[in-house]
Amino acid sequence: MAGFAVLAPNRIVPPRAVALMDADAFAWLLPAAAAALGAAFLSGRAAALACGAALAGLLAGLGATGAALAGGSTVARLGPAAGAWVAAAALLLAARLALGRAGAGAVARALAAAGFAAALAALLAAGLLDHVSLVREAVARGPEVRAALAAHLGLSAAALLPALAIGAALGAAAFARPGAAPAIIGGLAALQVIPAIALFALLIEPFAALSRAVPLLREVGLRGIGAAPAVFGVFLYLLLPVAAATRAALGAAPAAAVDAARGMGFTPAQALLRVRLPLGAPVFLGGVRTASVQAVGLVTLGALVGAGGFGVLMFQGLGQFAPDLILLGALPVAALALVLDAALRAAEEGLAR
Amino acid sequence: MRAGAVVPLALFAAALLLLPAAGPVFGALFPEVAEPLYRREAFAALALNHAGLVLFSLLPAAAIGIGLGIAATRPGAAETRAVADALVGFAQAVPPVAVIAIAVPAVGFGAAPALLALVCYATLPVLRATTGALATVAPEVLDAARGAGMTPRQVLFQVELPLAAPPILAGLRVAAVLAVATAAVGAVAGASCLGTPIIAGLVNGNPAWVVQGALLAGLMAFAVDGLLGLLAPGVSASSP
Repeated sequence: MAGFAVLAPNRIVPPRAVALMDADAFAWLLPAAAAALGAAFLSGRAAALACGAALAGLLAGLGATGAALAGGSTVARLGPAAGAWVAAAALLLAARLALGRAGAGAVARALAAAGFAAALAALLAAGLLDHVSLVREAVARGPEVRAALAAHLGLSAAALLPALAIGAALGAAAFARPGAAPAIIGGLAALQVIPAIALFALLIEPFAALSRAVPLLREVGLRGIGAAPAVFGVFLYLLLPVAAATRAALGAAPAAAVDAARGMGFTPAQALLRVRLPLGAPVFLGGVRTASVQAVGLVTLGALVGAGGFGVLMFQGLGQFAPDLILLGALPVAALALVLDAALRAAEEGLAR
Repeated sequence: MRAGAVVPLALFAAALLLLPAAGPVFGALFPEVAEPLYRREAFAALALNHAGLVLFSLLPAAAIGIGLGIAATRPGAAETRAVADALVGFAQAVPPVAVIAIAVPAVGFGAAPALLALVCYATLPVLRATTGALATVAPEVLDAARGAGMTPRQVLFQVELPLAAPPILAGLRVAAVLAVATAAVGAVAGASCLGTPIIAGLVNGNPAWVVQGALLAGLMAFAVDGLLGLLAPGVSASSP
């Protein structure tokens, strides 16, 4: 959609484009952008702060322009269009690059993201974003969004936790028996080749048969269509990153450190607990991070086979050709994945010290 | 090594040939379904469309990924490298299905949103593999090449790229397998591919169609993995 933003009288009527210069509230964005550019020549941290402030300003500008153009309507909504998306993406990228140039580690980056999230929450709480299309849609569908969040997190955890336990056991087995490692890791890698949509679909019938055969399982809600094939499918995909990371983590301790431990009279169990596990922890956490980010993304696709989560909103939006609803499903998934990634990276950095 | 390529390819071809005649089998397996065989489009046509989506996204993805990877590893291109790393980091957090869904309002239904997401996601493994492989070429080798009087272009084409080729080909293999999976998801936005019977089956409550589409999409992924394994032997498609 062309234009900087799009204005729709309600969620059904096709929106019309709004140019940057049509909207008075955007006028002060230009000095902010100039300030961000200027700061880029000063220092990384200042530039990152300026980019973050400009991004928050862009959103507040959208809200203020929406309020001005809506003219008292409680259903009119201003949505971002190509211009606003490009500006937001450029500011986000610039902020990330500036942080990198300032030498900010994962912890600093996570703190910066948390600060930005707090600013965003303040804008929302102050009602400044009420006329932004996405916020309109989210407010109108409050209970659905909360249910989707709970279901998405629940399904991701239901796949991740067993994958951590069984993946770690498989990885440990592959480390302990190098002869069996190619079979274990290779088998899990072959699973990854199957397209997720095909794996979820193929799991429907086995679960339906299981539910027919065991009445007890049917009573606890296990059916062919529903959460079961999605959670089990995601679980299967997560085994490889966890197992590979566990195997690498156990082998991460330098041979000299293990030898020294043995020389000091450590038993193999002591060497494992006091040398291998502490030295391998950051590597293992890296696998947990990969698996968590994958879980959040893969669960989205589970909505196709009847599992809940943000995918439900996204596919509803596709069915109704409602861009706001599509975004309401897609943006939280991306945000969840980025938050998990940032938090676990920060934890990794903390452990590696 | 050869068998790893031939067996999945033969299985995929056999499934493609036998499935149109397998109506009675699926009728027996799913007695409750009125129309046990997906007949809206021929499976061969769907497979051809699917292969076309993969091929036409893989070529630009390879060009962009390798080109950007080379640019990011030239001396003095630290900024380019930082931009590439940041883009890869953001893109990996967003699942492909979200990109397909977000692209629909912008480019409409059909093959376009799938192609857009395919190019984005197939570029990532190629870019990562290229920067990684070029960064690990030993500096002594580069010094020796320069000392022998080679121009930067000669160093790149005659020394760096040949040395970095195996990991780059492995990255292409990962990209191809990812492209097969992402193309199947493209069916939710109306792309005609092997995901189409899966979506049609889920929407119409026809498990037989779901199995037919899933079987072919899965076998195609193994066939593509096996074929590209000939180019990049010894590296699994999904090694991290």
